[in-house]
Amino acid sequence: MKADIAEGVCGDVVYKSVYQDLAPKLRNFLYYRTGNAENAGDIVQECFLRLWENCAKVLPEKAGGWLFKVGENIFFKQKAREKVALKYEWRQQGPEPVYASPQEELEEREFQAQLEAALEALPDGAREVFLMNRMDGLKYREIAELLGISQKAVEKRMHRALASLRELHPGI
Amino acid sequence: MATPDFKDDTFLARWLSGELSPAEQEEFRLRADFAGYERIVEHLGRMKPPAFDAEAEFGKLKSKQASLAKGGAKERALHPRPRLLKRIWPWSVAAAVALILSFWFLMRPEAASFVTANGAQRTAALKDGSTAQVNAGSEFGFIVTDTQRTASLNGEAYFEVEKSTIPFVVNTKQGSVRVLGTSFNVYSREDRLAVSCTSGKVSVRFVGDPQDYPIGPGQSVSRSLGDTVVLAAATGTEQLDWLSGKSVFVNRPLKEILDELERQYDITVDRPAGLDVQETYTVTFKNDDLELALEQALNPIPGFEYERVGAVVSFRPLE
Repeated sequence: MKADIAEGVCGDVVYKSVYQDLAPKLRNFLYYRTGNAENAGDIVQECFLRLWENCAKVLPEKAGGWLFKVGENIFFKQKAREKVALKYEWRQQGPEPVYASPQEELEEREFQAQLEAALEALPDGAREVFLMNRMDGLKYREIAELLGISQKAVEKRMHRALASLRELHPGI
Repeated sequence: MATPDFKDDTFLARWLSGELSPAEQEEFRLRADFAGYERIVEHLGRMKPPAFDAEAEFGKLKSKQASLAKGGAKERALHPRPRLLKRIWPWSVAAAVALILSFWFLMRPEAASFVTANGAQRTAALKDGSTAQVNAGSEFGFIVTDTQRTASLNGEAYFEVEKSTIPFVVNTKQGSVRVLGTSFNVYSREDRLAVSCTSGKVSVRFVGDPQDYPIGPGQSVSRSLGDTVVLAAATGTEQLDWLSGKSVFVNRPLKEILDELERQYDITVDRPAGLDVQETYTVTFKNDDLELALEQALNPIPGFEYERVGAVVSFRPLE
């Protein structure tokens, strides 16, 4: 048994470390699903308010699965009321790539735009899993734990996501 | 376009995580569509979702909780709980109660979070076999999951981390430290984060800076608010000072020195107008002899003399 604290996540310090560890992952997960950073941030706040209210009932090592389930629920409720528009915006990180020619630069930018469109076209489920691994660097096992699915299921979604990205991508 | 055929439906997942055998890898590399996958992955590697400022968001969350606690019961009622939760709720309570009881009887767990008072240090044996020696006036927490060992720290602590494949991460408000098994010191107070490594390797990341700063034995890395990151080969002793019963400051602001005095001896040091607390000094003082420490720490300050009455130290300008 690995639980450290019988009192759940009610301690200020524990609650804060759960927040620091899980809030960014949950926000990104919801962003990958909704394409709306502001909305994703609001849901994260709501999830952690509920975690606080239920802090005695949630063990720290179960907090991830708990939060992701609550987050998904809130999202579904919301979706039933209104269609939340997808509007993904991606930051570019690292040094600006150097292009051999204006031709190449144009081609790279086109590739990027097509890739972004292909990402949006990925089915829900595959997109979050794929981007949690690719952009947040989470291991398959950790994703499985957070989403309450098997590691095998995560690997299948990863495979399907990358295969469809290439198919959806007219540039290749 | 036809779906490309792979020998199983997790092949690309295993390629991405580097789990293909060399033969599979080679075979894949020769396929016509390989370059396409590689290019997609390479592009994705440069893309990031919008920034998320966890510290600021946590502040917002705290103020929301405070306003709800003040009488927002009505407001909460506007957010009905999802049905699913209602259904699993009694079960999770039952499970939690059973777990708590079994822990209670099996092993009364050591508190995984605590605060050290001024004048008091504490050594904590952590569940994973690591130890944390926590300096006076610090807040410390620790939790273990299947995928991460997470300590949170506001203050100063020296860690000896048990080797494991599960990463050990120290979160502070100024940044985080990630290791697998090693020993290192973390100083996280106000706007300053300083990490020094005594064995193994650690990787430090500062809030708002995407870069990792890896350091090895004897090296340290630090950043104060608004400053650039400083990598140093030799400030190790300055940070490990408190483990040998003294506090060492090399060209540090007077404010940091006075704060440390207050924490080590649980005293109050008044700071009169005219005392420049940003001025930097190099001093060493002992952590177990107040009179001597005051002499060592405060004598180098020109233009002032000090006087101690009980737990209060005050300054007087020299005539």
